[in-house]
Amino acid sequence: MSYRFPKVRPGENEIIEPDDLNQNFKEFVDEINGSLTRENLQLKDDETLKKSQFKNKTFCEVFQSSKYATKTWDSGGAAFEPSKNTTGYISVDKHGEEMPNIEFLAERDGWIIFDFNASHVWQGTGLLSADEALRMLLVKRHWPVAHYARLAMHKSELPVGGWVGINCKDDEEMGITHSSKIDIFVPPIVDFELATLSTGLRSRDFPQGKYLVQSTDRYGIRYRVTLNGSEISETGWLFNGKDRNGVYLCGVIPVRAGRNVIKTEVSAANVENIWGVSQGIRSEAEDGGKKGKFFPKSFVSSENSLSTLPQRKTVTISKGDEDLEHGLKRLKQSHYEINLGISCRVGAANLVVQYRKG
Amino acid sequence: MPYIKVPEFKHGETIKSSDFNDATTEIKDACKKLDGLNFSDQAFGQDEVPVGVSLRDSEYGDRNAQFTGSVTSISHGGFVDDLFSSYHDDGFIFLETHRNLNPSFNWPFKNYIRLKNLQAGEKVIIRASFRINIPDMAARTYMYGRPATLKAALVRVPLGSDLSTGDAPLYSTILRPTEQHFRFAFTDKMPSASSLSSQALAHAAPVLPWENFYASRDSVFIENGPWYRDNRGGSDDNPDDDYDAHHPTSAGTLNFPSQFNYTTCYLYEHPSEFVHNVTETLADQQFIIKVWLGGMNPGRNDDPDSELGGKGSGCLKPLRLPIEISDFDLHCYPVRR
Repeated sequence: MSYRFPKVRPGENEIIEPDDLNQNFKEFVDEINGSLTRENLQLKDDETLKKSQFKNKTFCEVFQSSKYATKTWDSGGAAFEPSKNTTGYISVDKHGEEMPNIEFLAERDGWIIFDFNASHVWQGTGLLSADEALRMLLVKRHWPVAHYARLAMHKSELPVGGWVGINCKDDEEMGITHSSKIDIFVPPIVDFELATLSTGLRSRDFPQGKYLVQSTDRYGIRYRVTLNGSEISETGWLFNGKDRNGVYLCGVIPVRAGRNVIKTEVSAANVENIWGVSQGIRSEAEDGGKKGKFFPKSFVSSENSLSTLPQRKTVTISKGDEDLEHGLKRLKQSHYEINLGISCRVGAANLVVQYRKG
Repeated sequence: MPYIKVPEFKHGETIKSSDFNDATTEIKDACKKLDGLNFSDQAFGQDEVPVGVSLRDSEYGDRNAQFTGSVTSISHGGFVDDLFSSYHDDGFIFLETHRNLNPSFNWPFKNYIRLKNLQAGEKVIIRASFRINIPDMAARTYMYGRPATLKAALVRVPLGSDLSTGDAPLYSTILRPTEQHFRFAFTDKMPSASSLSSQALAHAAPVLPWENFYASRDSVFIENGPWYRDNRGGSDDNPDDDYDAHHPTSAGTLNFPSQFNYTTCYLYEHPSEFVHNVTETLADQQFIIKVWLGGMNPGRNDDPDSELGGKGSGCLKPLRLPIEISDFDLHCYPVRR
């Protein structure tokens, strides 16, 4: 309410004191100096102020923080690399790169609306050891198809899962040169000792391999947004089966007047459910019954057990074919370069924050 | 309007009429130049604030642009059209092949939004989202197979060119913070006669007594008998379980289709001066979503002459199937005040 009236109204012939004038002027000056309200404006009932009378940032301020790779993602370009030393969230990586973040001074209480998007790539098989590689990738000959035992995924950077094929090009042989660094020898799918000629069968016509019940889809990345250190939104684990993927987070939260910091953070880990197998002495079998029939054969002992991402390295696995049947030739040793470990890189990320003043 | 200060009258001093008039004039002048400093906090309610003053402003032309699309398909673009692999001058598109705009390959729905009469410093929030369905193309049927990747990003296109001609203008800019890639690593196997087919045997060397090793599916199974048999073509128990029933383009029964979502939010601030090219400061700008689908390796010879297989021999080469984009939305709103 900004109606003001003179404090002193001198009467006829009354001596006017200087303080009378000062008090009266002060009434109006105090109002003009930061106390005016809508009542002081000549607005009609339906009339509003003009848009041009509001300066920028009267109601809202907007900020943006961006990060992106400066070369192709497939060739190693990265905006940010999640840590392999911790499963916790980080906002600064080992190269000193920072995930998008915004710091601003709120002149009054209000709230913020944030939008965050990012995209990442995984690279690597996710295999942990040569033993695991042999167990998952070896495709033995299976009756009745007579082919040589061999490993899938020589030099592959894809995770292990789904169907993995062991046939190569049309004529099966590949990578053979006398001075080749690729020393894998992949013979025709069937080669009979009895025949002096090649069978002529083309492996592309009946591809071999195996389906994997359990894939190396156990590595996850997650993102979160924090306000002044408190988490306000997070993605949950996104696994490496979708080895190129994008995320989006948004939210609204009140902010207090003063300094506010909105950060985005990343965490990557090997996320596994650890299964236990019941062992030990069980009840004696009843006639025709089952031993330990009241105990589960396996159970989850720990869910979402986290460990750091494995380092990437290459191992060479040699595999020959010891089985000889039906006149098949003995295959000489094949050497497979199998990539172990896995990496994750964030290719691009963007944070937009709108500060709405209260 | 700065705070005003009027002369203070003191005891014992002469009060001149000019001093008195100066004080009243100061007040009158202040009333003609009021600004936010003169008003108290919460001086105005929503009744005094015009609609659209903060987030909607039609004062400078059509701003509240929105583009939506229902369903479309995108085909494999090939390496030459992958603008995302080109890092030149901080993202500018200037290679001829990267300027191409084709709704079947890289410009879904021919989408665009237009901003006109932009002023320096003006801010606009742009949002885009769409769903992605990538079918299983059985890319890993063979050892060196690799699935396809879909890439997408927001692109700034200076107005002044008619996009319908099929080319983005030079000095369009890919907005790298909005770039996202999508791929599912696991695939199924192409429907194939993995235990050999009679057609594939047609190419076999004649010197071997194949009749001793191969039996058709309909023949009586003999234990320790022939090694190979064609397991396609149905059987008495499952007559509909044949090659056509599993063809990836007609039946779609491969087991690893994947779904993704692209969503982005970008704050565009119109510059007062250009960094790379004067088109950055043009008052009219367009924004589009551009995509690229590619990178698939079927793991076997890509020679068209090698299109043998399928029913003819035993296994069709993994097919570069199109992907589907749906529920497309691209819109923006200015943030002025």
